[in-house]
Amino acid sequence: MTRCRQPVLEKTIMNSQELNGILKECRTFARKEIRDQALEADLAPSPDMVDAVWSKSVQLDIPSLLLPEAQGGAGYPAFCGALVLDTLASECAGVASVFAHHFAACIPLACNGSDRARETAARFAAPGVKAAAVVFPAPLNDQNPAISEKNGTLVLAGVTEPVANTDSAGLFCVFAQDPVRPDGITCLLLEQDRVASCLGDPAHLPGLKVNPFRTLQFQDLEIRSHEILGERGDGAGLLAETHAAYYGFVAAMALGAVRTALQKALDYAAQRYQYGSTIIHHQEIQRMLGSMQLKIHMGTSGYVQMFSGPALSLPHATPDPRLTKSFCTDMAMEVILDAIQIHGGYGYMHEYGLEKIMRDVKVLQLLGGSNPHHHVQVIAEQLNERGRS
Amino acid sequence: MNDDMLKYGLFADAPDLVETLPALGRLRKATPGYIAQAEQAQRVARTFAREEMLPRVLDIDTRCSKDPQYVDWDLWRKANDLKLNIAAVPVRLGGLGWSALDNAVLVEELSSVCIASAANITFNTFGLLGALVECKTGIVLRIIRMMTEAQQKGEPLFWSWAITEPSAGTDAEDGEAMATMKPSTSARKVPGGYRLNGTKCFITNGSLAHYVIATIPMDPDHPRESMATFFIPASSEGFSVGRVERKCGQKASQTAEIFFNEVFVPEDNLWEPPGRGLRHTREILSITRGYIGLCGAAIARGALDHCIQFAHRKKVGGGRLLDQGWVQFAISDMMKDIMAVRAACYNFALSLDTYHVWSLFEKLPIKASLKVLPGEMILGDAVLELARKAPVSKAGTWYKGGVVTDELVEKFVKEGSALKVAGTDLAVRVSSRVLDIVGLEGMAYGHGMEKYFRDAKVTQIYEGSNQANRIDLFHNTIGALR
Repeated sequence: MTRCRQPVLEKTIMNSQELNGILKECRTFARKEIRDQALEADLAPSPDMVDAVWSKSVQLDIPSLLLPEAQGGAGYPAFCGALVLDTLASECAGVASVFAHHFAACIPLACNGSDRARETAARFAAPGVKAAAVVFPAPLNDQNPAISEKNGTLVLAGVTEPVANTDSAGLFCVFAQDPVRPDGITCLLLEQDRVASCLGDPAHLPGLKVNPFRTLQFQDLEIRSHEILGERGDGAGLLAETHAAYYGFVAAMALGAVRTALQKALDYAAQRYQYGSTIIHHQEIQRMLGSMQLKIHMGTSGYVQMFSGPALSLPHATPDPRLTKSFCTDMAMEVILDAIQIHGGYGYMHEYGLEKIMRDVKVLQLLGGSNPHHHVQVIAEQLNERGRS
Repeated sequence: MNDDMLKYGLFADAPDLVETLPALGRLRKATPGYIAQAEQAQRVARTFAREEMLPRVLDIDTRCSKDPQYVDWDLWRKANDLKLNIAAVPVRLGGLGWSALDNAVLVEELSSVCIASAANITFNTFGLLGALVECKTGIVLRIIRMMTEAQQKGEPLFWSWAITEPSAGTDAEDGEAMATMKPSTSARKVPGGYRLNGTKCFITNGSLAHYVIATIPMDPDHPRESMATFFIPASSEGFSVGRVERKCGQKASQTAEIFFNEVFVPEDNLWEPPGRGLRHTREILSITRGYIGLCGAAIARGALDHCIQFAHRKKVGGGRLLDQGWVQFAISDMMKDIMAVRAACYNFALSLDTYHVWSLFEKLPIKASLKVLPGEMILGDAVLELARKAPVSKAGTWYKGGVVTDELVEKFVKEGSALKVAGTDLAVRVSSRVLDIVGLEGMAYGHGMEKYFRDAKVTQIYEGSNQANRIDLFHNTIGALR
């Protein structure tokens, strides 16, 4: 595994007025286009709902948010993407996850200066284009897709862990292991028709249901030279950049989702009467709500710092993105469990929307690798680096 | 089961009750039949859970997601054939005569596979437990006869215990909360009986129930002082079922709204008079909360058993996922919590047999009657008629009241509340943590682990929220010292 690095995209801190303007538009968009459909879509996931939201999001330039301006994109940094995802996830983390995986697939296009990247980015910045999917090597998967040479041609073989956006993606950004060099990674851009026959059955995860996850099973898929982004085996840096942003996106979605849960808990506690008063006056409920606020605030600070740390150049301001994701998603799980608890039986019923958030957050905890394993990995890699130096 | 599976927990070959709870070994020396029956209960329950439930619980969950009113009647019939739904009824009267310990084994084994399907089978005990609270002999014998006759005919007989009302769940389980609750239900006296009105919600098996045991106040402005307990046939005019809820988990167990619209209940069906409704609820809770704690430990155990098998099969870096140090520590950490809570829950079950309502079956008059008299005679019309007569009925209440006192009930509420919180918090913690080990691949529906997580959360809410249970624990210990 290549160690995550800070996204180099965050060279400057964005103008807050501009940022707030974007988020305000996104909030309005999410309320209008996502809120009323989120629960129904969770019960009966349909690509139509996602397609409709995606199409309308083009008017706000959300799909091209992270693509370079030179190629027709909006040219915003990954941090902006994270805040947009936080906003979308406050209405439905499943819908937000479609954009998150698309954004992650855009990072290599924005970072890599090759003609292929520019050409693809320009195509993806055009209206009407489909979302993209991203495939990372999974930490605990012995069958991660790998490139090899057979009879003089390059082929891709392996089985991925469940991958998002598989049903809607027009392009698959695949980070494949490549023995061409030690720890070699090659970034591949595969069009949807090349991947269609490799899609496995839906994983039926408990959350993010509007975004069905599937494994990809590559059986010696022939790789064409133009599908390789950059140099063969040279994609480790690109993977690290993409991974780092991706973990920030996941963190942001988890916190966005439970921001709504906290608000619902506050509202419910203010109207539920028990023991002679509304329960918001009960000290134990106040403790729970205060703790929930703390977790959301600290988690938000964590991912904001992760993205803006490099620009600030402060000491101790650059947490490993995996740890940021781990902290934020774990905090989000604690928040949603308490939010449901405050609601009592209503919190467990689908129509109140809270149990959906719990299922969504559970999947977010596992995206990109499980949190306890991240903790192990981060320290193990630090030890390796220390050994090398 | 296949050869590559680790013989552990749910997938172990032989019953492991005494092996995993060594104190029972000591008890076996004193009461060999008692422990032998518990081991037999585990053999029956584990086989049923593994052979009959495990292969179909995901399919049931899927079907219930689409249709919340779906019931796998084939599974229910298989349980009925084994009398698992009337396990607590004495053998002489047609049941299995299972003790509180045996019922704990049953609840644990079934819940370790699917707590919702387990509920459809084991919640039948509510009928008997409800009747035993006041212990009017006529009512107790009538309920037992209904249960055994239905079992013999292979006909479903479901009971619901209706406590919760809209915006008033825990309120109806605690004296202080009940005093200030705003009930939607009410009862009023009419010639020959009572008229009931109002709504109950989140009622387990409410949509399947043939009979409902409901606490309803005579005076909604003074619920604590006027709360009564009624026994209501679902066929009563004015009784209706509302929507069956779409829940996060436990989908095989239906949760429904029920409505009372001028439902008439004859005098005989007043199980607890006004002012005694809370006491009735507390006695049921004094038994069930400990069992829910065990259900929680069982969810945790089932999730962990599945996780261990997955980590054994999953190959990582030339070894198994199970070989990774962080996985071994996580599994050990969860095992120690499960072992501790489980042992405490079984201690509770042993206490139920020793002191609570199960101890009645060991009292001389009852033990002798069950030994000497044929079951057909005890449940026959003549005895039932005699048992209904006021002096006999009152004698039952008096005798039982001397065994299960108010003080004993509150003591068991205290114990049960602690276990309920410990077990159900553990269920949520473990069922979430195992998913962190098995990752996205293991979380996929077909592996059956994410269902434990969805099922677990509501155990922290029903049977009194865990917050209410903590209040009970405090008030029954430190609070009582003032």
